[in-house]
Amino acid sequence: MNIVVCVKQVPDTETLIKVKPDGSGIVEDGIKWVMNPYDEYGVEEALKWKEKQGGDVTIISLGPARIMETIRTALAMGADKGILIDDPSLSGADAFTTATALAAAIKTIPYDVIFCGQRAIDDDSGQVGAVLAELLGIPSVTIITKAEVADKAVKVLRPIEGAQLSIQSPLPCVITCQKGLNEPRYASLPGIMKAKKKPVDIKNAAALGITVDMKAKVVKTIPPPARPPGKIIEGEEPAQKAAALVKLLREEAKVI
Amino acid sequence: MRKGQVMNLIKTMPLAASPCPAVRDPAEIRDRHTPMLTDESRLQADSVKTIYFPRSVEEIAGAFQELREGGMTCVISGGRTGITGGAVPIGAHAVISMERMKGISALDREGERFFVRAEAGVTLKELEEELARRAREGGPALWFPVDPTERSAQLGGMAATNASGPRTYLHGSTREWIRGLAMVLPDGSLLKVRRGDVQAEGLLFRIAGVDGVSRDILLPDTAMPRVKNAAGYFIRPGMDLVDLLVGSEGTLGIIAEIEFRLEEKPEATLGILIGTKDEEAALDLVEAARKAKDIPLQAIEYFDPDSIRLLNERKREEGNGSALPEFPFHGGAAVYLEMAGPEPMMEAAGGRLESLLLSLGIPADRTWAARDERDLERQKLFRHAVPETVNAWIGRRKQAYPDLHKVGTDFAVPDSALRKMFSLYRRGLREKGLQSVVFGHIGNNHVHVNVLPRNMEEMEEAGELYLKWAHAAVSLGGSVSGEHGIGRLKKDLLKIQHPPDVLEAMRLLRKAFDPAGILAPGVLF
Repeated sequence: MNIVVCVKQVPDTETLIKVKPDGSGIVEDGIKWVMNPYDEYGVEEALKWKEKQGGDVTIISLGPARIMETIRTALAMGADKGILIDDPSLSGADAFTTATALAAAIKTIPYDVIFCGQRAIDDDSGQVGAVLAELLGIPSVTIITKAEVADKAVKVLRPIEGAQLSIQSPLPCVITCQKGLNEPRYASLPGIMKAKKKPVDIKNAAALGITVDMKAKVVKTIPPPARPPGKIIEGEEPAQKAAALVKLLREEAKVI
Repeated sequence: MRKGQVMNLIKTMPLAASPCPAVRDPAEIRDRHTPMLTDESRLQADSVKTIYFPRSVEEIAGAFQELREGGMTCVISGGRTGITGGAVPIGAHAVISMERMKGISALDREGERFFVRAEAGVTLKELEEELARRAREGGPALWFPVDPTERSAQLGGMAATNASGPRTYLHGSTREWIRGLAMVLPDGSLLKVRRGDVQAEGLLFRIAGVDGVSRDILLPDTAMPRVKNAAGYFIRPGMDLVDLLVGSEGTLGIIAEIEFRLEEKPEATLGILIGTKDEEAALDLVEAARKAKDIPLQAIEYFDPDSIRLLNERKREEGNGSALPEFPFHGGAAVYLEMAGPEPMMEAAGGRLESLLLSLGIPADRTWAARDERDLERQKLFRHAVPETVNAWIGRRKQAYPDLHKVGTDFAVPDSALRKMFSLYRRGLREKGLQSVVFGHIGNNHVHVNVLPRNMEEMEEAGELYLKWAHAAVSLGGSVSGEHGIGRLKKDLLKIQHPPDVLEAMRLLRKAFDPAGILAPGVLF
């Protein structure tokens, strides 16, 4: 079985994000880059399928040279090879452009199933998986927490408010992964050692025959408002302080 | 020593004392500064008369002047991350907090060597952030490799306690990374010294006081254990003065500024947690890894099967929201190995480690390897979770037995005594039927045995074992304190480490620096 996983490199949630003064994006200096956590579920699921079904796992990502680190991380977990789409014209790509580039790369290789994270934790757009399926002309099943493959078809579970949907789709299809699907494995020592020797193809827009056609543009990045300073409640007696706290919670914070 | 030159004379400079900012209002001390009355040891002082917040050596001298004139005593307060209570002002009138001394100098480059001077109140985290910021602005990427666990520790405290950590296995303790320091002595004078400036003549230093009187300081004639050691003053014939001041636990003077040596940050780091089937297999691995000189390890840490069980239990209890990484290999012990260096070297060493595991019959896929920052952080989280979880466990037992506390060892022994010490630990724990976890810096034969007493009887039994082990560690050529220091809590152990005449000589040494006994009453002895 030929399994493809699309991964994105995002700032670690622990990183302190600073917005550029002109609002044109975030300051990338000093950011710790990691694999999008939802994509990690995709990599893990792909490896599980490979263990059961045989076949190989290809990791595809898009971005500058630093993305190679994230591809290597997936290869260290056990994926077989990678494709990095690196082209300056794709910098700041929207979901449509990203999906277009991914689709073009995927068309060059055989595939039976494609895993994506259900969204990336940086821009939260949540569209790439579905658009990719559309561009490839295959079905997509999104935000799933369980996937079982049987006989050229996949059965998935998708949690919805108060219930779960059991959905079946023929293969190939795109599956976007939600937390709870699995517990991503750690890389082992042999995994890390082998990862350095696994092949990663680097392709640019021309090689993939794509022209950039952005449908959406981030006009401005606005930081959240600064947190107002804390308040220390003065008073002698605990009861008196508690009363002052209740008053503030009701009248100022308006939370009770 | 150059001919005809007196190298063992400790010269100090007078300082122009200036008034030191201080808080004296009892209510303000009680309400705003309660953290100053305790530290990680959980010892607690009732109150103090004054808390000083010096911003310069002159203000430290000012604080000392007040203390001398008022016949008062003080402790020095850094990040208060110490666990033997050295910063807790029990029996002291005042606290001198270093938190406003935050200066970091520009880098000094001498060939391939880098130095930075930092004031005592800079935390390890602040130093690292500053180095990272300078690296982003085009400076060299540097690090201070010792890596004591707690990032809120202040550099002054790290110097005063000779802090160490997992990477001490390769990089030594804080002492090895200090080139010089500036210390304000209780008489209000400034002692600025760099390595090589002042060396003992045999066991003799002389100190020239600002009063113009020179006094002899005769160091005790004793051999330091040749292991990781933080028990009492560091003494060696012909020693450098810097080595004496580092690790003096705030009893000789106030370290105001430290000059650190820094190194270029290695290109790559590889952390590997290895599951072994039991403790015996883990000890085999540790000994083999230490011998394999072609695998440049900078840390070798151990987690016994009880540590792993404790963490996995906590993970289950916390459920889905737990930030604790799952340890993937159940039912055995674990060894953490870490190496750092240029990428090709890591590649070669990683391959050799694989063969080493193979030769020991350890399946190489029973490893959790990390090479990017986040995975290394995850492993760190896992490693640090052991002591945290022990403390939480003890906290719960305290509800039934308020006087109950953890009994944790900090003994280090020579390489040759590693197995002997382990068998003593295991026999004692088994005979008494005590619950425990054993983890820590096994590369330096320095593991922490944490007994988890279920009731007061068990705590008493653990206490007896603890003293027995301390004697055993010393007779095996080890130290009663590998890293925690003596402070207030381990004074009994210092008496096991050193005979009375050595302790007496250490007292006299202390007196030469602090004749009025202003500093850290009740600390060390």
